[in-house]
Amino acid sequence: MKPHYLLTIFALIVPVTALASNTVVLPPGMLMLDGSMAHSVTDVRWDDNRQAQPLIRGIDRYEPGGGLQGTITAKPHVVYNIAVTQLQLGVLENLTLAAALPVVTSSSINPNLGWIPGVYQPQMGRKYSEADFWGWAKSMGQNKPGNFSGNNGVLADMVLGARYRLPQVGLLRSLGLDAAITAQFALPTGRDPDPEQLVAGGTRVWDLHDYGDAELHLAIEKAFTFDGVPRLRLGVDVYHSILRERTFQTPTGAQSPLLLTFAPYVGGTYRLDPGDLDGITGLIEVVPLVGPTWPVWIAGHDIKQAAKFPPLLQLWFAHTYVHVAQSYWHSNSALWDWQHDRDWLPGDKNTVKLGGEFSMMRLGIPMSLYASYRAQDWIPGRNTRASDVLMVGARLIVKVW
Amino acid sequence: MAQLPRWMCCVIEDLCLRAWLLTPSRQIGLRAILTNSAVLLVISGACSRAEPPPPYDVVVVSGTPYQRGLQHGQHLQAKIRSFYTRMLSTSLLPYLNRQQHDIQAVLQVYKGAEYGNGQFSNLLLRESARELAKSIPQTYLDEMHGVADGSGMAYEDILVLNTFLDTTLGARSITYFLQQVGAPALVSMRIPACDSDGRDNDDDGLTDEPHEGTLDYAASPTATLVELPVDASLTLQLSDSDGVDPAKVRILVDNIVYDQNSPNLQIAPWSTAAPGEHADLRVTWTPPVPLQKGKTISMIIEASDLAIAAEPPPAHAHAMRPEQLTWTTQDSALHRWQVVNRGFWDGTTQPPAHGFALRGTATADGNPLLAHHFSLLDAGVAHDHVVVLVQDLAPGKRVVTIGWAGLVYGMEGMNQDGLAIAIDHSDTLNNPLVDNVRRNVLKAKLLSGGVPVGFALRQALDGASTVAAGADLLAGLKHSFGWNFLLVDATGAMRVLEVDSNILGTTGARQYGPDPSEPGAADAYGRALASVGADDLQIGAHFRALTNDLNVTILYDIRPQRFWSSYYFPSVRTGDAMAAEIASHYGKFAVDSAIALLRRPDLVDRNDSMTAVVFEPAKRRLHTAAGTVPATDGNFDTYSLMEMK
Repeated sequence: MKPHYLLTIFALIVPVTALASNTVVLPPGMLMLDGSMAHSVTDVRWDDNRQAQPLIRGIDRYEPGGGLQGTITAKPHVVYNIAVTQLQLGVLENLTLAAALPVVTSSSINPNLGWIPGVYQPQMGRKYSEADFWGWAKSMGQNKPGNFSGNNGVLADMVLGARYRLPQVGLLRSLGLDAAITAQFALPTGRDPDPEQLVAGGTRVWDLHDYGDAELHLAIEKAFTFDGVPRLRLGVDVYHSILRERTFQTPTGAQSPLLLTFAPYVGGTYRLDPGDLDGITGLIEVVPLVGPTWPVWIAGHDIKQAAKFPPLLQLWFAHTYVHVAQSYWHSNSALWDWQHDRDWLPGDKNTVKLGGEFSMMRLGIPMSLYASYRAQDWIPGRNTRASDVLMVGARLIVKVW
Repeated sequence: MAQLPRWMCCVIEDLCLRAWLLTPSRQIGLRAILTNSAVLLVISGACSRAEPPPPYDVVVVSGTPYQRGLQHGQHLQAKIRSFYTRMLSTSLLPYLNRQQHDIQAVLQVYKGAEYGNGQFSNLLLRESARELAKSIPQTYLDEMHGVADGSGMAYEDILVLNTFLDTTLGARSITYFLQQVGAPALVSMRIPACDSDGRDNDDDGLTDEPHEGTLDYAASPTATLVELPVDASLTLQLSDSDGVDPAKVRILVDNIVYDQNSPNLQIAPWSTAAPGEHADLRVTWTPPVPLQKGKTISMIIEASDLAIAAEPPPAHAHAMRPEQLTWTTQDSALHRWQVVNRGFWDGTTQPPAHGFALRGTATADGNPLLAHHFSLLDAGVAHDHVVVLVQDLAPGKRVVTIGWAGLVYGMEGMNQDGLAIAIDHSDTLNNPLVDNVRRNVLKAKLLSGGVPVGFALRQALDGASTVAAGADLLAGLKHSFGWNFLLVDATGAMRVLEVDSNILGTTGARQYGPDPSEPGAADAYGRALASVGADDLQIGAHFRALTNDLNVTILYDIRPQRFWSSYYFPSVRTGDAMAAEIASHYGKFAVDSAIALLRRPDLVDRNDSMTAVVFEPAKRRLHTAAGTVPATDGNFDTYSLMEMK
């Protein structure tokens, strides 16, 4: 492999609405403040044959005229901790506006470098060991890359969105379906990784590779009532996500002369046209606990109003299949482009998500606590990176008008 | 949405397009438009998949030398820059900088401030390039100016790119030789059983003469001894002023490894050492069981010294070139010269560059073939930059070379008249860098000189139509290093030309064909130097005619190639394997079988393979494989020289 960055990948989920349901909107005048912490771990890449691989390929190194010294292997372990603050405001009966402000609180990348010895080197009387190689590399100005730690308190790409719940008329009404359209847009407020660093991570949409610069969702859900109580909700959400073309600075090799000297032939900058995402989510939401329900102050002491509040406990399970289109690199060097393109061939990822929310509104406290776990390495994907995310958060609801 | 199979994508896209095109315009409704658009959109997203670029470039240029260079530079701009950056800036230059420590210890000029801060190798290549440029005809200088202008690179960078091979090989020969000077040496051998076995073991016509079983070691292309008793022990004397490390002595006999822990290998001091000195080592190998009678046995000897060199990193002992010797056991009834010191492949070396020519009785249709596999310095880079460069020099004068981006030549090529030439490097200290040391001693600079090999090839292809003319032209040039040229033309004429830089005026070019009756074409025993029959010739990375390329004292006792070159024994082994294959298929060779021979695993350098080609000079066709390592793993694409566009 011709090296690029050892790693710039992490992922988390920043839904424009943190609710499990994809059709729920806030009543007009209601403001929801949502704060959460996400802990994202990435250490697996799915290859073209759906086999789990380390996030980056091994890097073959050669002794000029002496053949293969060996292969630098890496099993990077990438951790991102992200605080996400969201505001949602019910504007109209069917329309909610939202803004999400993700801030990376910390990130770390341990490349876990290893070594596969190459061929016998007659002038040494042995094969290169890992220590031999890095000693050799250092004599040529290339230090062994260490761990990355950074992005402390760095803003990621901010997200703005809106959800419009379609009027329940016609077929929707007759089938008892809820439907909503959600649109979201990312603002380029994040930061690219330092191009000269071999091991580094950024905070942009591309680095996240989980949501797009622009997304359009269509969700349809149906609630099922048992004994007059809505206990089950099934839903489907389909979406298309666009990632815009972006331009990056090409590494010059200032920090890693052997491994990152690209600018002379790639050009001062290069363009990346990321592949768009097409996803479909199946959602199952169950309500094991509805009440107790009290005629609390936030319901105007009206038990009927209080009964419209979310249930005490909701649990959900979702599976999202995302097709990821080919990402293309564009530079002066077609060969260099291909060396990146081949790691971002068309593929897919399967996300399994489990979660639950404990709402205290029926108890008179206008907030809820929630937690979710998302895994992308339970079901193999293809040509994608798998990130697992644990998220915990709290929501506070305030009536504005 | 899952990725659709490619065939399905094609079918659906085709159907959609047909439906779109065949629909009468008056019938195009919103529904049809939306349907077709949606399907096309979805399919295009699902089906788009990046494809790798072609494994190598084919470029055809024409016009004046400058114009041809300009087209070359414009067409391959990124690849030229990539080749320069990856091969030189981030590989060879920093690698050569590591040698400064050893070189400046001998050549004081390189202690100068201008060679500091990592500039040693850069200046070395540039100064040498300027010197080499003095011998490059103006037409090629113009062509390089064109390449520079076309690629937007500095002319001197292009000059360095076109000459680094010559300079680097010259510098490498010196540093490798110096490394060997500091490493253990196999001094002598003692086989007591030879003194009284009733056989002429050293093949000198005498039997059991005094000290028949004692001999000084000398690297040889043939067997060292013959008719040894099947249970004879061999004692080797290993010497090094820093002492030989017994723990690093390894003896391989027909691929079985013996070391200091092996019961069949005894390691002891050769004699009592003087105070403060290290004794030589006495290494005695005894066959575990009696060997077969009438068998050829090869031994490889490896050793390192006790001193640890910290520079250049990593720290390492001085390792001796793996030495190789061969003998026969009793009842073989072969002379030494009849047994090739073939050795065996032990995984520590690779087959070097090699080529062969066939014609007449060697080929199925009698037409000539030239097959060549060039390997030297891929470094994970060169294979990505291979260019089949076709040059229309003038009406009726077309030349093709298989080389690399930015280089105006290759290590093999053919012209419109059917003259095909392949080149292998052949280590020699008879080169301009050593000549500078000879002339200026400690004040010398490592400057190359003479005609860089690629430009020698171009001159022959551009100016000659026949083997005779090409060989004479090449023989008349002052060369930059040791090279073996193999020339074949459309008539089936074939010739090998071995050259060095002839720095003492005593060597120069040696050329020969397959006919051993031709003066200079046979060895001391009347055998053809590089042929198994009347219609074949081969080259490798060692000299067969120019066997005493340099034997002189210049600061050190400099000896001929076979005594120190790391390519020597692998090349002998490769040549022998190639000869056996040629012999076994004599009269049946065609392009496919020539390719099959190039692909034989024991002939393929899996590390530094760069290009492979089979020329059909009579048909002006070539079959080229490149873009992979080894090159022979790639497809051999067929081109007709006159039809290449």
